[in-house]
Amino acid sequence: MPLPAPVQAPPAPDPDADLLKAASAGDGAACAALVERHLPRVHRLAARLLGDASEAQDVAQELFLKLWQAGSGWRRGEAQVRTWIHTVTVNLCRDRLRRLRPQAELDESIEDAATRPPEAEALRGERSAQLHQAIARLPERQREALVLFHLEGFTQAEAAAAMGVGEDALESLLARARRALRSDTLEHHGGSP
Amino acid sequence: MSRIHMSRTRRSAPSRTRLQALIAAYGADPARWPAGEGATLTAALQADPALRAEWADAQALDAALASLPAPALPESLAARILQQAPAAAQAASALSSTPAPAAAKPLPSATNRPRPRFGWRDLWIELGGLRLAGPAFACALSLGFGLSWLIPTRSLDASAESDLHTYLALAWLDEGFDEELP
Repeated sequence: MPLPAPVQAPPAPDPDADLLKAASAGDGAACAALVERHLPRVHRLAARLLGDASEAQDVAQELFLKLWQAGSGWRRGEAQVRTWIHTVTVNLCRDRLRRLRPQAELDESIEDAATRPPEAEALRGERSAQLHQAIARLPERQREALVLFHLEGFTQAEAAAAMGVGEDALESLLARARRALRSDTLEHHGGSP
Repeated sequence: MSRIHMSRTRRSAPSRTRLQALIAAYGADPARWPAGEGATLTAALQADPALRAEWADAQALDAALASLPAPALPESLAARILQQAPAAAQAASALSSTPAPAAAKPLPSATNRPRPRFGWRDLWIELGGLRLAGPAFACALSLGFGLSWLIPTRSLDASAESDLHTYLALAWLDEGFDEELP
């Protein structure tokens, strides 16, 4: 007796796909709905990855321009609009960081955390400011993993998809990022973060 | 899903090493761990003081990360983004939560500005409306009468000339229609 074929669950309906189609056809309400739904997270994500409010705004504007352009050719079922938005946001931030920062800072080495700028000393009294600084000093991909998973609350699958890595790689990046933060904050005020 | 990850999710009781790895990567809250891997955490923490210390450190870092303030969204950013949207004017008015400031309100572009409709009413207004209708009607009427008299006789008698003057005078009665002008 042949085994029944595994039943594959149909892909989850994408609530944004219809909005995007309507938006690219000139529906102003659909454009506004997409902006209201996704802008806050896009902006937060960019601001945290770039550490620069003005650059984050530029990234958000560029992202939505790309979204309007992509809308006319969007094929339902190929990708979730939300996943596309997060992936493109991360990529836009990477591009800007590469333009803005010296290449040396993009090194994946955890030892980068030891070479911290002197202004961190001035922020000794403010724990959150120090933690911000410590996050900014993380290597790029560790910072991405930490921001996506721990600050923005993405699931493992969402964070891995946005970064274009597997879930095992994400786990490794998260562990290294947390270890670096712990070591950084311990070095600065000798206690828990 | 990778083979390594599948083997992890199938495992019923993660080893101590695996629990350490989970705490190190995902933090202290097993609800945020990969599915099925946090079930034995409580028992493991009760039995292992060293693991409990690592878990407490992770909990402190989680709390510190959760306390970081989120970057504030600039009020005008949504309006600026919607100015670039395919239907900029509609989109800006549809944005309910963050109304665009007056300075940033987009002007309708040449493509979506309402196109003026040109009909008979417009032609009527364009030609002067009631203000010129009176004289025009009187001129046409007098011309018609004049021609009907001129063509057969090629001369005007006194009564016809008087009628012509009457009709010509009617041409100046347009002032009475001013209040009906649009």
